[in-house]
Amino acid sequence: MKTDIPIIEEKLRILTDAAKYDASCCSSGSGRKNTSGGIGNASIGGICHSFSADGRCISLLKILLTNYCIYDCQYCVNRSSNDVERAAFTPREIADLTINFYKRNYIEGLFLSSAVVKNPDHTMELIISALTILRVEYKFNGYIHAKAIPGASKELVAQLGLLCDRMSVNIELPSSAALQKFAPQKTKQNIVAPMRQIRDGIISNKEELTVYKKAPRFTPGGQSTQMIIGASPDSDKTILNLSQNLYDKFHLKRVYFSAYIPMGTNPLLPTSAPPLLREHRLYQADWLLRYYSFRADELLDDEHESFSNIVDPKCEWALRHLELFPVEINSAPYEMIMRIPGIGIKSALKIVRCRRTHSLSFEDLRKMRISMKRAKYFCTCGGRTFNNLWLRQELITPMLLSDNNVSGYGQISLFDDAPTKEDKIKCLTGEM
Amino acid sequence: MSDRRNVIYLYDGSFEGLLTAVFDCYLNHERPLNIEPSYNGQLTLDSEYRSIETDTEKARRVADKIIDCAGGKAYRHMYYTHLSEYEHREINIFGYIRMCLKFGKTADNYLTVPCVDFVLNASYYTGHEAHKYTGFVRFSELDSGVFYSEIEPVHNVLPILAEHFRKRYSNMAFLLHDIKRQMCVVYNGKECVIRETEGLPRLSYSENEAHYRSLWKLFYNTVEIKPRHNEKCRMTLMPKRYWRHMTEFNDIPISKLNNQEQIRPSYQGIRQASLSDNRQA
Repeated sequence: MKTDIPIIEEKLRILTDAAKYDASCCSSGSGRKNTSGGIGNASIGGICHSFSADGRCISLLKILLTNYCIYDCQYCVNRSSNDVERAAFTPREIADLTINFYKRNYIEGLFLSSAVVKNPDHTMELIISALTILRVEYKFNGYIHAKAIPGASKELVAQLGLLCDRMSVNIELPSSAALQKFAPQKTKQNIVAPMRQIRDGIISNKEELTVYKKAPRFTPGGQSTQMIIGASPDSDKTILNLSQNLYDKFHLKRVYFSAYIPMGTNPLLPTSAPPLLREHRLYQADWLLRYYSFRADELLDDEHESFSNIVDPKCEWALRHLELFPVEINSAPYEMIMRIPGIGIKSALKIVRCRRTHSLSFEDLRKMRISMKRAKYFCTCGGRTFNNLWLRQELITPMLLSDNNVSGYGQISLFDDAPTKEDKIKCLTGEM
Repeated sequence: MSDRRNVIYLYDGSFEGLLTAVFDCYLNHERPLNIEPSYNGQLTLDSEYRSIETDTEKARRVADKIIDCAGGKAYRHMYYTHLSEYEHREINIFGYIRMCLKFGKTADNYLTVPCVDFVLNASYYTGHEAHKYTGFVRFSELDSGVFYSEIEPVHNVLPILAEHFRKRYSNMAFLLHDIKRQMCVVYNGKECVIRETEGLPRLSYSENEAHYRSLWKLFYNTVEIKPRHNEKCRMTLMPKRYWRHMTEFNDIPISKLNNQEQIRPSYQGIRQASLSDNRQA
């Protein structure tokens, strides 16, 4: 099987191709400093070094250690039953490639993942030896994101945590039923155990650091995970509630969503184009959870199980809660200003800062470069509405729609006649 | 402060020079019509000109006062605004300093005052471009072991980048060349200086360089998920003006660049290298 070892170019091509479906590629959250005689540091906000032709950022050298896999997960391109080219890097090759790319400022660091070769422990040992060469031999202090392999022993996870900046365990399928169906060799228990261990490791490391500030840091960039969107029939509500739980209980830094790209042969898997809009809506909602103090049950409930194709989740929420609007810019609390559709954190902060010095009018907001495109329907300045707009639900929705110019954008309908604009409005206002 | 609106201060273009000019404005109790770099060369008839000798002591006093009143953040905003290429930045910085002295740390809350808005925005755009360049700079290894890179930033972000790369590559000699302003950061592993330069140097690359360039291009082209192709998104996040000096878009083989005078990739030469090109290399 491993008779002809491909040259480094071939390996890089095969293992990049195999790794690229992992959505995560951020280098933020860790402020690791350079050491004397060492190379590299991490930037707390992260740095994007390039953008590929699909518009995704390239921050880290995202590769698999190997794509020889013992598992046969139906959604995965590297499943053992799939007929793809296989290759494996040696830990030394990975370290050399990383250092040489890093010196030329191509990358911010390394994202090392792997298919499960032989068994989880063996795979983890290979990952650890690659990172050890980088950290100890090359004194590399740049960003490293490593995957913890579900089912690996606790000692190895603890060891890996001290070498990398961020660790992640991918959930992939948002429910046990889907896991059972598409990845029967994986169990929920195996996925959750390392996540719990990483969380506890980070908490106890924080305590250590307060006592002894030079204590070795355990995954200073926190942990993240990924879920595949659209492979299983789970609703947006299930996915968002799961994300909320992960943020609450496991203190995750990020939950990534990856629109499922058809590559399986299982008849239960969809063959349609990747649900990019759905992924986008979930990310918008994810931001609302993490930065705007929304809760998952506010955004989606039993009546609304998935997000609208037409407006973003925040706008959808506002249209369902028009009793809370319009919001007075000059007196409303910061939390409420952040909930105005079209106003983000930066604008909200500007507003609260500026209104301490003088009361704000719409003209002032324009000068402060705050976009009123959507916000104008939902706020007042000094009791006045924007251009004396009459704020009523049946008027706001058509106006928003005409602003967005949504004709022909959305998922393909099952029925012959596409829904008219009026139908879309009825959907939003709950009449349909 | 008297409002003699027809006085124009001329300074040498450095940040210290600007702070000296501000010091002298306060010394003379004058609020100038404008503060201009002396090399601008356009004089008006009805204005009185004052040339300012840069004085580090005066500049230091102004800087200390600002940091004392309004904090280091306000000082950084001014510095970044000075590095930007916006017109009338000097007089806006002067206005911002007046606001800082009057309101202290709360000066930034007056976003509706034009000079505050100007300074905060100019500072934002300069910082933003510097941040983009911390990612988009591409070094090439020369046969002397030095790592060399060329950039053409809109704003003068070189001093900000120098600080960033000095920390990152503390053990590595590098040269960061702003070919638009003919300025260059030189770091030898110990000291970091900014020098003026003339023309473009002849470069001879190390033997490994071509290998790693082709590996990087291979990685770049492979990592795209084809069903998600989105040209507009890429262009928004990485506008084409950055592409010129980025390895992944550079099609000229290194043997042609080696030891040649002033051959640089042009905008016309930019196209995405196809996978087959890389496999051959």
